[in-house]
Amino acid sequence: MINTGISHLQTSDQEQLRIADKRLAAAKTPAEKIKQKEILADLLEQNGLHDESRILWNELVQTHQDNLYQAMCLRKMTQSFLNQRDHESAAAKAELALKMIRQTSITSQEEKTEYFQILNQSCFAFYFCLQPDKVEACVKDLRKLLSSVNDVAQQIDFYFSVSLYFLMKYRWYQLPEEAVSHSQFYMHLAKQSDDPTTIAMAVTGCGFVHLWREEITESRKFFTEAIEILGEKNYGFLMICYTYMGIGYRMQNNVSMTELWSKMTIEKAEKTGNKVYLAISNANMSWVYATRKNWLYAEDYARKSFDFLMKASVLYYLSIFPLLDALLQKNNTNEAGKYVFFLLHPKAKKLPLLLTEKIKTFTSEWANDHTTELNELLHAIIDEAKTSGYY
Amino acid sequence: MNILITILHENRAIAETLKWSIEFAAEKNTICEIAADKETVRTETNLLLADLVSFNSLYQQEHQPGCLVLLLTTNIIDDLQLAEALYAGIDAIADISEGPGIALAKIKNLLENKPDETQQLLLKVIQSIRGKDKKPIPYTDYGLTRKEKDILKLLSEANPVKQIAHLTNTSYETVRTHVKNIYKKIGVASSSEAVIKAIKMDLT
Repeated sequence: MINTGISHLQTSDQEQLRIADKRLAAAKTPAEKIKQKEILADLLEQNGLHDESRILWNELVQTHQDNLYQAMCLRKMTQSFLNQRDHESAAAKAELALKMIRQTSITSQEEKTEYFQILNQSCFAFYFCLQPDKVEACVKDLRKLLSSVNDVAQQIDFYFSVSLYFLMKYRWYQLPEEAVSHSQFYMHLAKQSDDPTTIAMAVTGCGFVHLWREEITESRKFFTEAIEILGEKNYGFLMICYTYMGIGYRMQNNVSMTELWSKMTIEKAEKTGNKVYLAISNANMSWVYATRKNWLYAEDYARKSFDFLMKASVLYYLSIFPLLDALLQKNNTNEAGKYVFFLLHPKAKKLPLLLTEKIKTFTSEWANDHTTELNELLHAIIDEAKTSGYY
Repeated sequence: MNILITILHENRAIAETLKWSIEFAAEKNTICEIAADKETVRTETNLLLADLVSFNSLYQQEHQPGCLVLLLTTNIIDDLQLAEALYAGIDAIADISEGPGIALAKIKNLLENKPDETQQLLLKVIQSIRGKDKKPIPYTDYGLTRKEKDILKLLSEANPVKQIAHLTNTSYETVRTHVKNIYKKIGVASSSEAVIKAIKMDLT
């Protein structure tokens, strides 16, 4: 079955897959077949053959009646969707996995461990689908189970889930002290592992917490540390760090450094086809051009990035403020109103109170079709955004 | 099963930004579209989001919406038009003057079949009017039949026509015919006028 679609893999990986496939074909007893199918499914997943992997896990679900086993298969399928960045499908599968594992008594160690893993994975899926209530519910159950989990890797996953919960609860704005101490403990625990990606992830987490507390210099230390840990490996993760370095410099109104980090991200994002970080960096570039009063470029970059971020990231405000300024130059307050209104989305990143008040005042006038003061109100929004570092 | 949300709004810019707001963080099975005019609202629509003018032009005294309706208002509302919309069968109201938050919360509630406070609110208004109106006008039955009186009473209690049909075990079309006859007999042209008259008639 795996002869097609693996030619792009390294020879050793191709060979490994062929051997696993042959072993599956040669398996005689049902138990042996199941075991070989699991091995092959995992191998396919590791080699980026997500659809093929999920087909096998789906076959395994169908042939079993045991809830615990079915839950495990559904978890594997959820992970596969997460690896493929199909968060909506991952969230749907996570729901099924949770439903299935909850049909067991969750008393044995095996059941508790499976439930713990499913909950962690669900947090991740629900976070990217912007479902805060579900993330909170998962974290609540994870806390109850934590004492029964001894594996350090799983404990690290738990602290990662709690980090996501904090970000979501406070909508990426003014995170409390509790989040700082949590992220430090998470980093401490992660540093006990040997995996550089796990460590870099926790260090980046600390950077996030400080960035969204507007402690930019502090955040930069962590992002730099994560970049050093990763070296030139793991482009995906490097892009995250580069992107947030750029955002930090933007918040500090440092045009040249924002441009530098954004261009570095764009280069890597284009190589890997990562559209989210490409769009965020394009939003940063629109800000660079807006500060240089190059409105044509500013508008073009802002629109390009907004079209993608409006559906993919809670940080779409990064495109909106330069775009609003470009529209103000053309006195196009009616179109600007659409973006201002959208800034008030309850699931997107929260903005400072004073800025939000000005956004609400504009929105009210715009929605009621009172056009006389819109220009002045839009000016006030942009000025406040500049003052607060959110322009 | 897919959920189709249709936006019908006089202001195209508002319709567009609402569409973005719904699509951002929407479940995979939710489809949102903007109707260019009342003729293009698809019958498969599960939830209609409309401003007062668009809604009333679409449904007033013609037929009731076959789907859930969320009425979009701003902080400037025409009370009479709002009353018309309430009796035409809207399911909830959302003020969009402060962004998409309220509308999104109401959409969630409606799709989860959670009751909205709109009907309760209307009942409270009616009760407060009753309380103030200490001198009811001399009772005249305008030649209404027993059935018509029952329907008028239910109308005055903020029940939309489809609900009245259900409560009186009568078909929707029959209730509509009764309502038309009631209007003729008591000399009114709209449901809001009929309700005010019913309150004054003190049908309780």
